[in-house]
Amino acid sequence: MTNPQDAAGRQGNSEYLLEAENLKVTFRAPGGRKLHAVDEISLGVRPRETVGLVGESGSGKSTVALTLMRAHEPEGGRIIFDGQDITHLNERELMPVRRRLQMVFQDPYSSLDPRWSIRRVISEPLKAHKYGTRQQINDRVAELLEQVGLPPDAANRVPSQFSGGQRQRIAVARSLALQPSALIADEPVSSLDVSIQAQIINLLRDLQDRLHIALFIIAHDLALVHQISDRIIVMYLGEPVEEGPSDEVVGHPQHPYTVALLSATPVPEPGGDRKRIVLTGDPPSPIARPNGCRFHPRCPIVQERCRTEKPPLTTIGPGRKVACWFAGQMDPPRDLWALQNVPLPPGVEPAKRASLGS
Amino acid sequence: MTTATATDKPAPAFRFNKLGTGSFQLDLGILIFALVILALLSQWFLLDSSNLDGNLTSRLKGPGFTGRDGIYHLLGTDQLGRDLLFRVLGGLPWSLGISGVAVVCVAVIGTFVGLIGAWYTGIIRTLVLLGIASMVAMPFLVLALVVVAVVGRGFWPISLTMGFIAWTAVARVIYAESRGLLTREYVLAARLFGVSKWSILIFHVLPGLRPTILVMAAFFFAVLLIIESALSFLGLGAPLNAPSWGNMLSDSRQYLVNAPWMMFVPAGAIVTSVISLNLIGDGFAELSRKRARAVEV
Repeated sequence: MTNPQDAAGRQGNSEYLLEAENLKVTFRAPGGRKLHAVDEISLGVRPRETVGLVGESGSGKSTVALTLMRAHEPEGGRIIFDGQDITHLNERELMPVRRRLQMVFQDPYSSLDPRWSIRRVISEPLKAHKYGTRQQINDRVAELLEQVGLPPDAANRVPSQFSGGQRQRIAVARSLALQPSALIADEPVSSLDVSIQAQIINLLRDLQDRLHIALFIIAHDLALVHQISDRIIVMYLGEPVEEGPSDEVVGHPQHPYTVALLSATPVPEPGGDRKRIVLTGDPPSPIARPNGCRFHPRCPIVQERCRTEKPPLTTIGPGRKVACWFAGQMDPPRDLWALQNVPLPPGVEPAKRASLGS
Repeated sequence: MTTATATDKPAPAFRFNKLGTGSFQLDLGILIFALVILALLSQWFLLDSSNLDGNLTSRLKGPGFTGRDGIYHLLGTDQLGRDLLFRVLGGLPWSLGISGVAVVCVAVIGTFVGLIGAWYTGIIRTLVLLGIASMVAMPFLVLALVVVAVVGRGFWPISLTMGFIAWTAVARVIYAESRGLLTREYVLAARLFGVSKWSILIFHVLPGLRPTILVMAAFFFAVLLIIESALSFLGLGAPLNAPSWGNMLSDSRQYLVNAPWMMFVPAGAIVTSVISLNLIGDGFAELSRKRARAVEV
């Protein structure tokens, strides 16, 4: 359902609605050093498709989302929305894009202004884009509340009167207000109770089916992303390490990091508890990244080559890519390694973040 | 998927159904300040210019003195035989008015500058912070002296001078608060929806600053009241004959021993107003803390 635009204006791979090409984002770290938040990531979301981006905390997932929304300036690469290069548009030129590209944030406790009524919260994007008269806006708010399963009288209350899950529904309603064609969801459930997570995920799926939006969902839980996505991209330290169709990535993971992420998912059957691959140590700091493969200090199947040469993201099948010299050599659940605590190489600083697993 | 229903908890709000605001300090402060304002209003029907005229036959008389002309002086008279009660009432528009105008200037300029500094980064923020720092470095009394020398003593020169000088502290507090508020995700969300800069500042940030502004305004009202009195005392404030409280204090200085009531009357007026304003400020702070606990979670 691509927009029938003139052929000359279109750029990039026209199959995609939202596309990033070699996106690179760096921040200045204290001491004049560069923090490589996102390095050379390319991705594309087709209309009506769901793409999941997975990685542990600090891997640059949120930076990708915010850069796609043009909240951060990329250092390199291009962002293409519906055939239009939006990398260097100014705020005014971005307005029509903002109307069609919306975002749901991670924390519904801080993404809703605590002083605003729900009606005002949901109508904020409507008013910003001059949706219509007050009556039209109120009707739209009522319609949206119904779509996300909230009672109509919710409009007159304030966010503090709702639970986390209800607030996230409100945030979803707000992001859908302008009938966007693409929605970026940055960890939409990670701050919610497990029992509520499924509700929000189902809501997003349901709305996507009904409204035909392209969904780009970010999470650290691979199992959850698998549940909703058509395709998955796994990210480590700002770089993509594996991507492919959802079932492929989860069923036949090629990169040892994907395997480790998968093994961190609990198995819901008695006696089905497999050995976990626990990644030891913290992810390295994106300021001083390891040479060679970024994952090698924590990799269970590390070889000499990985320490010096960086594996490129190579295509290994239709839509299937992996960046590992020894892809596919670590195969759960048969091959399970108990990992030793591998010390970080000299000059590599551990990031001050919670580690994955264990 | 269960249908979610909003909780039936009543809205957290101030309890206006009972008499009072929920903060004893605020109640007391408002009560006292209301009396001050009432006294201010009373002069429209109690006071005419003749009340402010002196009668040299009854100069420097103590409280409760009845003059030969049959006029009863409740609070006594000053060195020119002017009634101190009427004079202190007549001083209300001067003292409260000057500091009131000044506090509005302080709040408006301080908030505006603070918001600008917080919103922009880079060169504009640096300039704003430098500007605030250089305003702080400006000696206030010297500037007041220059203004009085150029424009002369009077209501507007002195109130505007105070207003355009004293906003730096407000600007700094607002700057720090706004930077905190601007990191909230709802601000980012608004930006990404395409909401304009001024809409975000006015509708998201400013309401969050309201308690801070109210508290600071109440305190600064009190501070400016004292500054105004100090300026008048030094002869840099209200015109010489104007019954400003600072002028009255200035007059009383020479009669400290003979007529101490001349000092106590304006001093009492200043102390009462300042205390009531400080109570109001504290009360606002207390209420906003209570309210933040109820709303933010």
